[in-house]
Amino acid sequence: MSSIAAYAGRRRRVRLAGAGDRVLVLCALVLVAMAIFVLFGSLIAPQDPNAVNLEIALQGPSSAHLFGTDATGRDIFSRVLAGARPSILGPILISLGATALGTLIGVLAAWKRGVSDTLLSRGMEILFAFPGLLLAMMAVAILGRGLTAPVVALAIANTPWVARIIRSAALRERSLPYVAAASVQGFSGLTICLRHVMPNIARTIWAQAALTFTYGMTDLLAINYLGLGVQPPTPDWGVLVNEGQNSILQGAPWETLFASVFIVLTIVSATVLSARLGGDDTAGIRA
Amino acid sequence: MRRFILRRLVHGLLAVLVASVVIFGSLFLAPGSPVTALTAGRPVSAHTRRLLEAQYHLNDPFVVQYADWLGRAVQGDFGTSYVESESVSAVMAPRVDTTLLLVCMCSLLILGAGMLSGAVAALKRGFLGTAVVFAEAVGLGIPTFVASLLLIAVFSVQLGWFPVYGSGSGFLDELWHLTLPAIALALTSVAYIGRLTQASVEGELGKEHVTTATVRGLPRRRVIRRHVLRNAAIPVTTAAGIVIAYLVVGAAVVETAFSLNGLGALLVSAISQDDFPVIQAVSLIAVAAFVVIGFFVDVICARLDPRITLE
Amino acid sequence: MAGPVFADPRRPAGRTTRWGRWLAPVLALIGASVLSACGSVSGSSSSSASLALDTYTPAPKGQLANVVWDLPLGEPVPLDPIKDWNPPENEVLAQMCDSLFKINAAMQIVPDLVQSYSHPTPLEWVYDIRPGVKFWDGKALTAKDVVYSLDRQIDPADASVYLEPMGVMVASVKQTGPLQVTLTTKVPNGLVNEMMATGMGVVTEEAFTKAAGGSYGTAQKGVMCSGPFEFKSWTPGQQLVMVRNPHYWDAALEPKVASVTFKWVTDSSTLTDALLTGEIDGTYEAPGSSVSQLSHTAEGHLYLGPATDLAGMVAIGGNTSQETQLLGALSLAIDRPALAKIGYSGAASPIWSSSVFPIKYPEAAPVYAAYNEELKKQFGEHKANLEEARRLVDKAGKPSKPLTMVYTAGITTESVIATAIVAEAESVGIPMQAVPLQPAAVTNLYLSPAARKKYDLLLSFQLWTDMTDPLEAMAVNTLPGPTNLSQWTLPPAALKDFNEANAATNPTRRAQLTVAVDRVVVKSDRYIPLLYTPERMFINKRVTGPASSWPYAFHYPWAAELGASG
Repeated sequence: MSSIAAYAGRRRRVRLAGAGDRVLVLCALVLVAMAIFVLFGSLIAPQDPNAVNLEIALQGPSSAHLFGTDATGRDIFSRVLAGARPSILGPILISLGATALGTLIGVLAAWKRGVSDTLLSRGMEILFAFPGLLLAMMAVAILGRGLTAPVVALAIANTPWVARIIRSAALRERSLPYVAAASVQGFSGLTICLRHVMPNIARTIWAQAALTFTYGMTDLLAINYLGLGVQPPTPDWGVLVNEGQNSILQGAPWETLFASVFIVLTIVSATVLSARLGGDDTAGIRA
Repeated sequence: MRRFILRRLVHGLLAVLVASVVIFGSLFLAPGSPVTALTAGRPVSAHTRRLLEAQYHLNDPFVVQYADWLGRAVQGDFGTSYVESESVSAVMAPRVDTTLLLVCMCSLLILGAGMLSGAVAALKRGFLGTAVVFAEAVGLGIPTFVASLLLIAVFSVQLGWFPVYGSGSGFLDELWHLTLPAIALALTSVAYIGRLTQASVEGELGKEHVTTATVRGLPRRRVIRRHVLRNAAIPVTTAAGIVIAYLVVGAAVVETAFSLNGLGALLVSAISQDDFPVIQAVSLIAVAAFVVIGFFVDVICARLDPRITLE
Repeated sequence: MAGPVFADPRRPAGRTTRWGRWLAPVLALIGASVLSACGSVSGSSSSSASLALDTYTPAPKGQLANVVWDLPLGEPVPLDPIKDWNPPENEVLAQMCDSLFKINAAMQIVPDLVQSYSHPTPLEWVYDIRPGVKFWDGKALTAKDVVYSLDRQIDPADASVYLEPMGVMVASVKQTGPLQVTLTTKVPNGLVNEMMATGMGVVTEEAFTKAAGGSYGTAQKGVMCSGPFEFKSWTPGQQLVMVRNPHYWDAALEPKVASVTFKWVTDSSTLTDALLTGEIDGTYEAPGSSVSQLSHTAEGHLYLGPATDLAGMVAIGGNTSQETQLLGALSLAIDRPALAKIGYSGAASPIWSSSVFPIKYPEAAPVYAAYNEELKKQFGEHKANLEEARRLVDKAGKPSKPLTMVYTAGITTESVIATAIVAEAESVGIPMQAVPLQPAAVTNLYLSPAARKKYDLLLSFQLWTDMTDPLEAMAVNTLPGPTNLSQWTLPPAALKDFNEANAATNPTRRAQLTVAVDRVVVKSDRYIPLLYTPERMFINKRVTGPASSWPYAFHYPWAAELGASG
């Protein structure tokens, strides 16, 4: 939609919940914890996430099992910790892919202008028409179930969003006097780009990365929930929510509950972080 | 203005065309033969195989198959479902109005609740504003399927206020059945639109023309309405348009969670069964819906701010 | 007569296999004796040790306007008797269409459209059709309609699902009187009436069926039969409605419910929620994973009825000696009572043989009971026999890659049990991997030997079998043929015993020989039976009437017995 670009660049200060930096620190802590779980989840888990013990199935939280046990007696706390990696790695890859590609395209379009810009923008416009979920589903239809197809598809689907924001940010930078000055001095376009423009739009890039992470996670979880992505027994959080559904009926909501809590914590923290990084809410939001 | 509209129209058509090539072409690339999907893996004689290939034009070159598909699709004929042995249109028909009603209810919720909460958060400082902001942050973080399960557990099973599954029959009954799904689907978007509205309104509040109008003594109400909200509406409308356009596919999750007989659920089951004609048809409709909604959003925004037509 | 018994899989929406269901006549005939001995109006126990089973529900006391019933295996395919194979469509078809014979709640074959019959020569069966039967549109049902319907079943050009192996046994069907039909078989066959008690014997109106052509039985065209319920409407993907036929010829079976609405919620959680809130009044095959929830709700009652239904693993992969030893160890390592608990909340009981079960057999019961005690000791009564299993694994040596076990994705009970089995295997040193496949792909495994080669084990949850004569199951599993999924056949000595058992007239001798053969089958470890799972019928407190047992899956008009409870 052509009206988007015009509004992408406004800077507005928005206070989040009035508590300012405290909230930011909290979110950062949460994300650091998640990062630790991703790296060391299986190691620090108190029990083997796949250890089945039918005697103790569907028990509530206790000192031995912090989050209780699931329908086959596996320790939910261990499964949630071990599930951090499959649940977060995918979105990280999506974020990396979309941000890298989007930044490349955005900067290129802003720098070259003219025909390349028009071509790239039109291309992105067409990609816009595909919701991430749709592309991911089509990818699964072609390539089969699993993690690869949805991750690649979601990275591609999120690219135009990043590209558009980066493009307008780069455009703004480009129009600043120092760029013209540097170019007159004889610096090559590439040098100006890398040495000056990129660092100045770095915050925007990071904000987009964090935001893409949240969108990627939400969409990937949906794919897993629909049974088109990661398959059991991998303790991906989306799979845990699905598996735990039946246990809810038997009076044991722990699996779904704790997996959901971890999901929400991660997404909210990343969203808040991206909003603060961007310093600027509207640029951070997909508009 | 008219040239603007014409330009957007042409762009839209082009987008749909290219998207259709992508949709048709990508499924063309899928490994395995459609014949396997057609016969559900049952061994068939070579003769039957040849008959099926001829019937579904499986051996024609890509361009021919594409042109044939597109030509018939424009007339509403999307071919025959591999799984149901019925025409794809017949398979989709009973499901369209469920999804349509769901998307409409959801859109009203998003626009109404989203814009309202955002405006409230921006215009009213203090506890209410802070509470809304916090609620929005949490709302953004709850994935749709988690929200669905939560709503079913609390409002359907525990309290019994809403039905557990299905889309009901008769208009009022359908509204009642689709309430929880619409809420679940709208949750994230309401929070998002709310946040955006808040930011947009706050931004406008700080603008020069608003200060000028206030200083000149115009009543605050009028300033808000005429100068702040009208301008703030533009980015929000754009975003809302995108969000709503994406609902058709996003509905797949709630339709699965609530066992609704809609296009989204159809898409998921078609993927499970490699029913390519159905996948192609629903994908094309989703993309076309996006382009159509985008077109209307552009026109609305152009009405709000004619400067857009100059771009 | 041997039949495909162990081979019939669960068949969720749409994709079908052809095994097993044509055994209905055999089951009906032989099953009748055991179940009628077991059943009584006030409910009684039968079969497996710790499970109390009811065949009947209390008789209804009044009328109801509408009952909402679920088909958990999915939406029916077109309701055309030459296409209807799976439970969803058969469950519906039997309510709307009469056949020549039918099954009653006691699993007995009784005449339906046939008033009397005779068997004058070994090859001929003469049926006298009941006069005065009308189709829903008022036209009389004549011998012409019967001949037309049966011809569609036996004509290869119509490719009926019943053509093989039933239809091909029939040489011809001729009208020999205004209300008389003569069926001639190719060789003498004692089960013709049983065949006519399945979908194969359904009679549809000739004129209507001809006019509808290939679309007969679809949502748009509908159905034209003479049964207790009339087809009203079918909204694809949503529901199917049938209404009471006020002119039904059998006054005793006049429905007490004015209309029945069929839904097809397949997801276990959603179905359970709907049953608990009363949005759906009842279902057969209630989700096994919700048994405890459904047993304790005031909204309705969960009945467990006798069924010929098993859960077990079939070795579909290679047949090396190492694999056989590992499978033997696996069978010893599985804690069956625990599986019953986590998969069905206890509504299932352990079994250790794929043919002889811990139930009461109508004949030579002591022989089979003693054998089951022997098996129980061998496999460990409540806990698995882990030391023996580990010993066998050490002897076999570690395999080069993990054993792969296929199960159907999306069904909670299956995934829970599959997970448990893998864990138990690993605990004795057998590396194993559970592979969830979509229902269509699982069905394909039953049909395609090439597809089976890719996996080692198939976990199957609805293996139908004959509860009354173990030899039938054995024949299907172990004799060469397309129903033998495991590529293993009885060795010559056992085959000799098998044939002798088949021919034996003395029940005790027959049982002893059966047991001798079964020992060989068990030792082969090609079938690892797990659980006997009774029929689970949930019915809302305001409804009662139909039998809670297996006949619902056959041609039995259970809906005609629905009514108000009070």
